[in-house]
Parts: sequence; structure tokens; C-alpha cells
Amino acid sequence: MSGSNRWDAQQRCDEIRVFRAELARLADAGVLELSTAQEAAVRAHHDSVLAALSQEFDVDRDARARQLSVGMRIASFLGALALAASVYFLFYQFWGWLGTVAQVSILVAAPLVMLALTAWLSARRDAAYFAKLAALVTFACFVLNVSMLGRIFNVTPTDGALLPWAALALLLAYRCELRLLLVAGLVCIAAWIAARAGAWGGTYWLSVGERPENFLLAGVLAFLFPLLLDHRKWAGFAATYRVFGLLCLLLPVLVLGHWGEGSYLAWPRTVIEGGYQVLGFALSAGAAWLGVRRGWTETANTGVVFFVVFLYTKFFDWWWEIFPKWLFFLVLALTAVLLLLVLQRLRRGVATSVEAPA
Amino acid sequence: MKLRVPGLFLAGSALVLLVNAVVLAGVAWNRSGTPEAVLQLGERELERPMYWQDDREDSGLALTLRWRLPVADSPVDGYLMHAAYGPAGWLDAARLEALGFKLPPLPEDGTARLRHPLARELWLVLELDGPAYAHSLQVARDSLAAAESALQANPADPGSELRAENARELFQRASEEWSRLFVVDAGRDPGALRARYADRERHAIVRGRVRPFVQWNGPAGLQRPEWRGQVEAISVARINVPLPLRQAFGTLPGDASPEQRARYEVMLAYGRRGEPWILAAKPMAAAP
Repeated sequence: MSGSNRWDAQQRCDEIRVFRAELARLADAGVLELSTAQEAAVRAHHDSVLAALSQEFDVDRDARARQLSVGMRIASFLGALALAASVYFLFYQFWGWLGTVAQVSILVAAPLVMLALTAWLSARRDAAYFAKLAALVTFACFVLNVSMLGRIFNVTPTDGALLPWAALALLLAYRCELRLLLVAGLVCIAAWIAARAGAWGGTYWLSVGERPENFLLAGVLAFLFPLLLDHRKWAGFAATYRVFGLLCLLLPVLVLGHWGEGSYLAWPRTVIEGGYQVLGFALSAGAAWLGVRRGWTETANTGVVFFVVFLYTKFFDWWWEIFPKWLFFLVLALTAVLLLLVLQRLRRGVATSVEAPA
Repeated sequence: MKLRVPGLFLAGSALVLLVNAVVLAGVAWNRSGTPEAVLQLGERELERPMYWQDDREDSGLALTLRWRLPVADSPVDGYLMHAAYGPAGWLDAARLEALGFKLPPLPEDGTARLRHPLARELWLVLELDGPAYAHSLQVARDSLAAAESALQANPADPGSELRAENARELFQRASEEWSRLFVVDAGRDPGALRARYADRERHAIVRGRVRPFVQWNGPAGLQRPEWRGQVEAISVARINVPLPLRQAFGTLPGDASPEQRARYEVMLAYGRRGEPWILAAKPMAAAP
């Protein structure tokens, strides 16, 4: 009845709200009128369901509560960013006047204290937003902890720090259902995989950005991960993995399509760039097709956006120098209209296939 | 799969404590035993930031390691003598390949775009007040002698007077202001480098980055490309000053006149991992 997570529970609430509105319309139109006893029974049943969901998942019971929730999410996000910056600058302002033991003690204690606070807030049903805020600050404290230890003791910078940062970010993301920390964890893991791929070839790990192909493996792994592990318990996590994976795949392909010198491949530059441009069109079109087929809206949208970007960059290469500007932008606009017509046709096709079984 | 609250705290705490333990154990191991090298440096090699006591956002103090590359035999301008940029004379194509770089064939002209190998982190040899420094002083001295001879031969020439003045300033700065620390060699094996540079009070083996680049030599129109290497950076070039040692670094801003500038002496140790720390620091009397 209640669903397995907050997202399912919220969806159930929304369905009840829509059902009540439609029932009222049907009664007004004289199509369906429940007896007083029936209406009272349905209302009582739904009230008890809503009360249970509200108790268990802190869901928004009506549209007004939902609007306020969006505001709370924005406030907690901005608050977390500001609080993390405040912690960072607070430490920087005073650390020089502390002995080494005091510096290390504060740096180690800060993430532990914030972790305890996050755990305590997570246990309270009415404090989900505060728990998320505390989780973000915990992560910021841990990043500060490790990076400042490196500065205090003159430690050689290493990509090894990315792994524990990723581990804590993912731990907090899964516990607090916080997609922002999931992205932070994925960024750390992707950077580590890319840095290792470069370092195994002998290059310095911070030169990772000079060979965009280093990020492709991380992109494939991130995209496939939700297929290997069921993420239905965590609302939006699977979509986040897929979008992140596509970005790690398509951004390097976009860069290499115009910067062949950045490739590991020992082929002529024009061959490399042409190959990556073709690959970019194929991957983005494939992502759009897969997204439509599997009902992954975010995947389809990402694919369409990148397909348009690949198309526009090719137009730029071909026509920016030779066309007058008005004509160049007119061609872009006509392409957008053409794309709209294609998507509209696809949409009608999908709608027809949904209606057909009825 | 979802962690319960105590599970979150226990797992997170274990991770935080484990990572801190690993970092601190690494620091302890680096500093254990006899230091790999101990260099006695001054304000010429370890530069204090300007106005650090007025920085209201960062109360920490870190010294920046200043190093140079061996200078060419012929007289050069002061900027090239002072700067750590540009090609290292000892890093030619053969040396770069010995260091593990795969260098692609060079184009005959400058029109072809070339895929440059990326930087590698290697072990570098820092030499303090050694032959490379003596050579740089000799080059500055020769340059001064040549400029003064030219001035004596033609005292009315304003150009000769200006060149002599510049040469005097260059020699004065080379002998009193610029760093005596030179990057003189690189390798993949710190043990092999230590065997070749055994003086632990003159040579430190540290991590740093080397990057190949193409240099065009010869007169205009007849230029031929060749691979050279540049020392991109020393991996740990900012040295943290612990609180008890801070009083050694004076209060005047770093851009004060040479007579007023704080002078200090720092014993900088390098440990097993090639990471530095300050053993001792003391203020020195201002220049007479």
C-alpha cells in the first residue's frame, strides 16, 4: 500500500488527490454519484492511507505542501553550500594560530561530529531536509580534512584521495537519498578511473584532462551500473547514473571530434576527428532511441540535446565562414523546426501505440 | 541494502578514521629514521609570501621553494638566468627517451600539428650551492667583465654604459638574491640518483614533473626542430611553517627593500617519500 520509498509514497498521495478531484467532477456532471456511505468509506480509507504515508515518509499531502517542499529543497541546498563554504573559510582564518596537534584534531573531529549529527537527524522523520544539509557539510568537512592534512605535512598530491571522498559521498547519498552527493561521489570515481588510466600509461595524474578518452570507461560503467543493481528504492538515482554516464561518454567524444591531438590514437588528426564526430552522432541518436524505448526520459533528453549540439557544431564548421550570419542562424532555426516536427511525429506514434490496446 | 542509522555512523566513522590513520602513518614513515637529505636554505631559496600577516582569510604561512635551471655558457639576459621556465639544457631527446617518453618523429616544418607527449612525474635532483650555481655566477661575471671592457673602450657610448649597468645588476642579483638551488638531473629510480649524487647536504631527490616540447633552433628560415624537456614543477613546492617556527620569518612585507627584507635560515629535511618538512628556522641579521 505505502510503496517502497518516499518517491512511491508521494506518487500514491498524488494519485489519491487526482482521484478525489476527478470524482468531484464526475459527481458535478451527474455521471457517477456515490452514496453517502460509500463516499464516507472511500474518504476514510484514503485519509488513513495518507496519514500512514505521511507518518512513514513525510510526504506532501497536497499541492501547497508540495510547493513548499520544493522551496525547502532549494533552501537546504543553498544552506548546505553556504555552510560548507563557511566551515572552509573558518578553518583557513584560524588554523595558522593553532599547533599541529590542534589542527589535526579539529580536522579529524569535524567530519565525525557532522557524521553523528547527520545520523541523528536521519533518524528523525521530520528532519529529512536538515539531515541532507548535514550530510553535505559532512562531506565538505572530510574533503577539507584530507586536503589540509596534505598541506600541513607537505604530502605529495595524489589521486588516491578521490576514492575515500567518493566512498563517503556515496555512503551519505544512499543513506540520505541525496542525489547531489551521488553526483559528487560519481565525479570522484570518474576522476579516479580517468587519472589511473592516464597514470598506467606513465603520465602525470593531473594531466588527465589532456586525454579525454580517459573518461570513456567511467562513462560506460556509470551508465551500466543501474542495470546491474536495482535502484528502485532510491528515487532518481538510476536516472542520475545514466545521465552522468552519458555526459562522461558524450563530452569527451564532442571534444575529440574537434581536437584530434588529444587522442591516444596514432592516426591522422582528420581521421580521428571525423571518427569521433560519427561516433558522437551514433551515440547520441542511440541514447535517444534507447531512452524512448525503455521509458528513460532523462536518457532520451540527453541524447536529443547532444545530437543537436553535434549537429550545430558541424553546421558551424561547414557554414560559419561562408554563409552570411542571418542565413547561418536561419538554417539553425529551420533545423530546430524540422527536429520539432520529427519529435512531434514520434510523440503521436507513441500516443497511438498506447491507445491501441484499449 | 539501506543502512540503518548506527550503520551509517559506524561505517562513516571507520572510513574517516582509517583514511586519517593512513595519511598520518605515511607522514610518520616519511619522517622516520635519518632524513634522506637536509639542506640549509635561506630566503633566496624559500620565499616568504608578501603581506602574509595581513591576510585575513588565510592565517597559515607557507614558504615557496625557488629553484633554477643550469644556465647556458654564453651570456644571457637576467630574466632567463632567474626563471625556472624554458628548456633544461641537460634534457635532450636521448635523455627524454631514457626517462620513458615516447617522442614522435618531428615534422620538417612548423605547419604540421604535433601530438606532444604528456608530463610525467619523475625524481629530480636539487643541487644547493654546487657547480651549477658556480657556473651561473661565472657566466654573470664574464658578462659583467665583457660589458665593462666595452665601456672602457668606448666610454662615450650610452648603449655600452647601459649594458654595463645591466650586467652589474645581473651579477649582483645572481650572487645575492637569486636562488642557489638548481634542478640538475632527473631519473625514474631515486636510489640510482642518490648513488650518483651522494652528498645529502647538497643534493635532495624530490618528485617533480617533466614535459617534452619542441624547440626551434637556428636562424630564421633555417630553423630545425628538436625535442627538449622542461621541468614543469616540483610536486611539493609550498612548505608549511609550523606555529613554533613562525617568529623566524619576520614581520616586514616580502617586497621591502633588500636592506629591510627579512633574512632567515631554514634547515629543510627530505624524508623517505621525498616529502619535505622544516627541521629548524632562525632569523638572520639584515644585510650590512
